[in-house]
Amino acid sequence: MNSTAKFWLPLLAGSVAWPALAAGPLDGSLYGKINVSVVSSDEGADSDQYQLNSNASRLGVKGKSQLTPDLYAIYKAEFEVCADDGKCAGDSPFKQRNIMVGIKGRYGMAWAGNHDTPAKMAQNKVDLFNDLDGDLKVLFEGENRAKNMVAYTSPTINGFAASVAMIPGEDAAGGNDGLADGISYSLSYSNGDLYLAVAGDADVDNQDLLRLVTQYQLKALRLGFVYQQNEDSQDGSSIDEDGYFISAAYQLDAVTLKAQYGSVESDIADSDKQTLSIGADYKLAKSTKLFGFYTANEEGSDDHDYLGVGMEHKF
Amino acid sequence: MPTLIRSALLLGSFFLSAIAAANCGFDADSADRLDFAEQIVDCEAAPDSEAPAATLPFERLYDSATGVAGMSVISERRVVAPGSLNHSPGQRFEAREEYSLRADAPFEASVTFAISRLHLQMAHHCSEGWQLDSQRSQPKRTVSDPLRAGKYFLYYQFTCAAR
Repeated sequence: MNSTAKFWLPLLAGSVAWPALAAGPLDGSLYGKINVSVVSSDEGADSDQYQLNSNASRLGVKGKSQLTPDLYAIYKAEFEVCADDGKCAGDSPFKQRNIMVGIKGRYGMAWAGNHDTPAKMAQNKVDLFNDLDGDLKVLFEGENRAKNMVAYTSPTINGFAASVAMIPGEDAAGGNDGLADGISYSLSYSNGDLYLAVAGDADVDNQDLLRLVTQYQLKALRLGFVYQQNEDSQDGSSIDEDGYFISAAYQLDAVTLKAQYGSVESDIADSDKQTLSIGADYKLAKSTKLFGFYTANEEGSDDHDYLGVGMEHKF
Repeated sequence: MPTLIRSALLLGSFFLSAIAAANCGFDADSADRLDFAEQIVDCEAAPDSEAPAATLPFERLYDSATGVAGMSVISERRVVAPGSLNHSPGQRFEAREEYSLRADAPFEASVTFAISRLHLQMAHHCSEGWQLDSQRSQPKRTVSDPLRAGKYFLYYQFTCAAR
């Protein structure tokens, strides 16, 4: 077990256990999901194999405490659990995911932690094969979970909401000693079936990027689109990329048919990327689904193919 | 404290917590959304407002993440006829509808209309009758000033009648 897991797991257990033992009401709840798939993968010569994958299965605790009528303390601590081989981080079956604490009132929420950046969260649910082999992150930069993040999220006003996060570099020797060595932001608008977002990063994971997101629900059909430009922000480097990503899901009772495609062009030779995924979900219950998918990823001259079936159960 | 007892207490409390989580529509994927904090506030019941009956498990019939519940869904939902399979004796649900107390609100946004839509939901899920366990109203939190905006959610907790 790594040091992070050693530190957090007793707190995770304690935060759940003590409220149950106390006389007062439970201030928080446990949540999570197990998502596993059996995949036939082909990642090049002599690499064909079957594998069991745990797809971001997780265990978390979250909750709030009301401090005043309009003020809440909010927390969330989430860990990935590797249901396949039990090795999430080295030999540890646990790996840190989103962990935060914040104060939320009528004027928004100030919060801090190790968390997905606003730019990453802005993609909403456009990625229909999230956490599988066709995940958006195989195509785009900017899918970051940032350490040491200090953030502010505005209240939602007439459908508009904004988030901005500052990420100190914590590297005085390297000249990154400020509070906002990296910045991530998002501005979103949601109105019924329409979702729009503009998001970006500045010097986050050595990338500057701009991301535009659209999602629209047309009865049983849900459409998504992402456009992104990014460039490497390291000194002396100017690797530019731009690309788009489209997705569509159509719900037929318990079955949801899904497809998505994305393409990125890079100014570096043999580095263009494409991803194509098709699949279907079959909902057994509100919390449980079976799914199947085929994904083809291409980067330069490398082709990777995946065919899989799996199950997800949320609790 | 002996390790075995401590482990048992932890395990028991995990089950209790899982029940508490099941009472709410917040799920693992909701935690990754931009509005995760609003969902935590909406989802976790205020400690001092919980009635004893509210501690029993129930299924939430709305999705605070997407705002899917409400007029648009219910207006398209078929009311199930008595005798159909949409009735589980003793099953508890919580439904909610939005309404407005503003003077300029249209009739469709009135509390009368919200009550009507809630009854459609109850008839849908408990086609052989139901008991209304509790009701409450909460200001809609997704606007800057809920009191001035005058928008509320009306919640009904109900139980399907025994056959």
